[in-house]
Amino acid sequence: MEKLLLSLIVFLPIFGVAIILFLPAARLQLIRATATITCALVLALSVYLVYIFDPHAANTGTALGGFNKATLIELPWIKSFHIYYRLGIDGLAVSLVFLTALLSFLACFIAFPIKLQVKAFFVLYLLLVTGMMGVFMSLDFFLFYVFWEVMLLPMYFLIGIWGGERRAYAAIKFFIYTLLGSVLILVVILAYYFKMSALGLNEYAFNIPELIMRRPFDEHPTVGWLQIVLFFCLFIGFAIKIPVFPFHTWLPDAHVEAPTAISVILAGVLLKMGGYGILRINYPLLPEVASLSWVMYFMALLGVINIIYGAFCALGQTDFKRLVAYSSVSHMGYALLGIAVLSNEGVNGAVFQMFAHGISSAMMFMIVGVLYERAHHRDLNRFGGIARQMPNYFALAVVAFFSSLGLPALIGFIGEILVFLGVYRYSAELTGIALIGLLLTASYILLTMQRVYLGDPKEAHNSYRDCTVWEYCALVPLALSSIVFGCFPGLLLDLVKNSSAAFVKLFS
Amino acid sequence: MNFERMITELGFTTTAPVGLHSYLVVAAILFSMGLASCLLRKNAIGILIGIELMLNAAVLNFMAFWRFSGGVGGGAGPMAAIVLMVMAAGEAAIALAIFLNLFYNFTSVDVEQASNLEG
Amino acid sequence: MNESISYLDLLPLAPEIVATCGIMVVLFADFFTSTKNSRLVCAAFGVITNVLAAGIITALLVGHSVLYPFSEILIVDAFAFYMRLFFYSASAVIFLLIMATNEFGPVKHGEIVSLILGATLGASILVMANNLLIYIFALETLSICSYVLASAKKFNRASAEAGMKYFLYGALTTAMTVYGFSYIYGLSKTLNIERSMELLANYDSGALLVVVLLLSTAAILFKLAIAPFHFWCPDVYQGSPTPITAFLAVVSKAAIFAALFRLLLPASLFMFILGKVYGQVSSELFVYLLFLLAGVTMTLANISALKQNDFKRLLGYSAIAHAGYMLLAFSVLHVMAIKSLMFYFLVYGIANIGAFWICSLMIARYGHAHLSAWRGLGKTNPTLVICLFIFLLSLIGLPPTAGFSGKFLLFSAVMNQALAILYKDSVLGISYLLLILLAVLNSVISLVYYIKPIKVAVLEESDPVEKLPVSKFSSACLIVLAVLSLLLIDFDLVIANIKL
Repeated sequence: MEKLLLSLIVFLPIFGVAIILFLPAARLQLIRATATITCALVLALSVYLVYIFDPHAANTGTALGGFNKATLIELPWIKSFHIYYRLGIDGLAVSLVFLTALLSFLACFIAFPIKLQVKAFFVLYLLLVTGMMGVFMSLDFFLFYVFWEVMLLPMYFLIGIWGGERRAYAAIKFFIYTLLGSVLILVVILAYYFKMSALGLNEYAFNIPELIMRRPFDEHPTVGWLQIVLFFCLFIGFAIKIPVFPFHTWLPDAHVEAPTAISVILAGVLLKMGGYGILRINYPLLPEVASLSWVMYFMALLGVINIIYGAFCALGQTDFKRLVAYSSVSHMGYALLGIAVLSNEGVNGAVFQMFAHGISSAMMFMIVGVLYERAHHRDLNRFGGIARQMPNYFALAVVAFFSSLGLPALIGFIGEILVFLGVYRYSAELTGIALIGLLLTASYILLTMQRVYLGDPKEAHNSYRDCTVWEYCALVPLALSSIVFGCFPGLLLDLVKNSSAAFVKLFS
Repeated sequence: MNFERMITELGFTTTAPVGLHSYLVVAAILFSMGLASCLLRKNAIGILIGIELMLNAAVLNFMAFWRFSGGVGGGAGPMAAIVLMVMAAGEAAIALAIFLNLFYNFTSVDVEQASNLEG
Repeated sequence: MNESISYLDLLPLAPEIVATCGIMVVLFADFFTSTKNSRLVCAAFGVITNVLAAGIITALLVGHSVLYPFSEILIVDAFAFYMRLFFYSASAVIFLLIMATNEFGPVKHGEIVSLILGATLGASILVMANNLLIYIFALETLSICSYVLASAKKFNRASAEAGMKYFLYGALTTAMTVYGFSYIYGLSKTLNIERSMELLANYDSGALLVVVLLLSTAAILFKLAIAPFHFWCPDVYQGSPTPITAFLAVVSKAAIFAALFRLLLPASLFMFILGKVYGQVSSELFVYLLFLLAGVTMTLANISALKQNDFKRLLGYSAIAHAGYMLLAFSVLHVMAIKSLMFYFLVYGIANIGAFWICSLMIARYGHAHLSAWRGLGKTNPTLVICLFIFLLSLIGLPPTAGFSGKFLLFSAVMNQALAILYKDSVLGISYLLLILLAVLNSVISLVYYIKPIKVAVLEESDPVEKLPVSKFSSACLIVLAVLSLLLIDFDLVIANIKL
């Protein structure tokens, strides 16, 4: 059973697609129910995965030893190039798989208000879930790339058909930007394939753990220009997803124009793929470049720029959703910062921050979506006093916003504090600048809360009803997760700390 | 008039009466004339004339090379000549059919007039 | 010349004999059928002929060595077998397309079908040619049939113009090629391609050879639509009837690439002579020339395609761009590169025929292929748009379609060479890497125009349109092609079975 678990998680949504394709397009409730149940099943499977995952059982003898043996699956696919269907998880992957499953399940609820072409929407949505799960679990470079690209196609349509006013523009911008990054990754895949062939190690040419262990381009102790080029090719490819300034310009458009459920998935999961790519592929494949002092500083600087720039941009927004989008840019800066410093606290902080940001920004986008459903605009200046008219919603919004701000006892705090601990040891001045980011974050969050929720209630908002059942279904679990993981971070940190430690050991 | 002496005095002497290079030069001249005709003319039939000139230049080349290498290749020269002439004839027939179709549609065989498909 | 023609000589040519008989049968059958049934009957005979020919090839494929029938004017090796298999299969699918749609109008289709069969025959002989004259002959057969086919749509100005343009450019370059071949014969004193090329590789005067070889490959470069000889391509693709455009894009292109192989493979000819001409400069000059041509072709085509609004013209520019990618792989004369190129032909062929099929259906309804007519197609014919999406994805080169595998294989063959040379001659190695980068960037640029039909069909709103009538036969064929496009991402299915 365990051997099938990962494949099941990846391909169960395809079964859901097959079922939905046979349902008549008019039975909206049935279609929504099928999709939600499929996602619920995937969530159940991933909870089981977390349950059977033993963080201490890493067998460090072989390359694949860092990955959970019970669930590892390796089947030959394209034999002439030694491309395998290889899925496996470690602590990092399992946390992100759980996050993906949770968010895809909850976003289904938030997608209920969609009335246009519901069948097509959920078909594309489930295909997207497959792609995302595949990316997080695949340990074969070719397979990873296939899943990475497969993710783009449904996203283009999801933004382009069900989005807002400038959806066609946002969709194509997203597609081209991400594709540009992906082809750089492809070039690196090819380079590794050839290098391994030249060394006679054809069987491991696409085997990610083996590539990490063998380091074909390493010419110790010098670091050649080719390795630096490959490192930055990979970095740009993944950085576009994180997104890192200056490759972030697709994000505000894509997030704003996408429908709520898709914004949730975009912010909650897709952005993590950039971070995951850096942690799984970019850094481990070329650790000698990553530990160069100027590269470390450069990455940390990029992280800090993300934090400050994102926060400043968020401060100046009048569109609610755009503000949340820029706050995503800012929060992912913490993750990049944590990775860049290559210390235990830093990497743990980065991984935790990715999870935390998944929860908190997903929740924030849902909050925005709920309001947009009622108001049909996102202009911050026209809101005010919503707290009195929608009290339960306000309570959930408080949890969301304060998680994002990083209030202790909520999920956002742990990631930030760990990252700061890591960065402080590396460079005090960068920590100082990043702390300013904290101030800015607090200011835009609190300003927004005040503008939207506090103050005197307005006449125009009297008709706004409090959350519907489905919105509660979507928001409450996230709020609970935020509080639970905020108070008991060990639940997540125990899962990931062994893989973070193994990661950091690569750089010593 | 002694043409031979005139030519010798002008300096156009060769060891053989007419050498390989004479044929090649003639063929080259034919080819360039054909090429010029193809590129500079607007009338489709004129372009066809140019193509025929070029093909015949090639035939001349084949025959000359064959003749001056002592007839090796087992009749390669005349073989090439026949094949290419048949081909040229066939091509000319097809060309005229296409031009007739063109004329039917555009009432002229001027290639610059038939430019609907631009852009 | 004392050998008599034996059974062994004719056996490898059995598919061609079948094709010739097919031509005669089609013309005869056309005589006896009415105009109404002519299309289906003739195309059906065409399909049968091609399937028979392909079947014979598959049967003959098992266990053979390189043959030189008819005292070495032909060469029948594994490469020839696989390419002929491809030509006949692709031709068969094009006949299926003719059966499914009616672009030529209420005319008798006998000539059209027999011309397509004739062109395929020319292509098959071209890929087997070992003699300069046979080469020219086969090239001409392919070309002349194509010229006529391009103008085969009666009373249609676009078609007449396309045929005229194609003929003029084609005949010009063919004449140049023939002239070049006459010099090749003169310098090597033999009509046999293999031997003459090997002799030329050891020839002293480099300058003459450069001119001669450039002349000789003029027709090939033109037919492949390599920049700067690509100007005919969008016009001819737009004007020709759609099945013929499909034929040109798939069979003609593959045949001409195969012809280029036949000319250049017997010797690493260019490398040697160019080295001689420029003295101490390395013989990689040929490779740089190829890079320049390939790079310019790709980029020019992709950028020009961005402004296009006519589907057939778009695919015309895409054909030019793909010729650029294929030429890139050509700079690596290694057996893996040849295999990847053959796989690429297959994948590109499937995607192109599929796209042109859908275009043909649209033209049947609207009379033109302008993208504005495609609005609202996503709602009325979702299956059609999904198939179109898969074909266009294949052309872009995105997973999970076979186009990705094709590009992947192509780039990996080039990358192989790049990294091998990198440490010996870093300038060349870096140029290889830069060119791969250019090729992938071009793939990204191509996304913008390939996604346009999908964008118009799915994302743009329109007044309610009625459903496009698509016969079950068309749907079935399109679904089969789309499924093939998805299945072939596992390129082992093809590559492992090609034994060169």
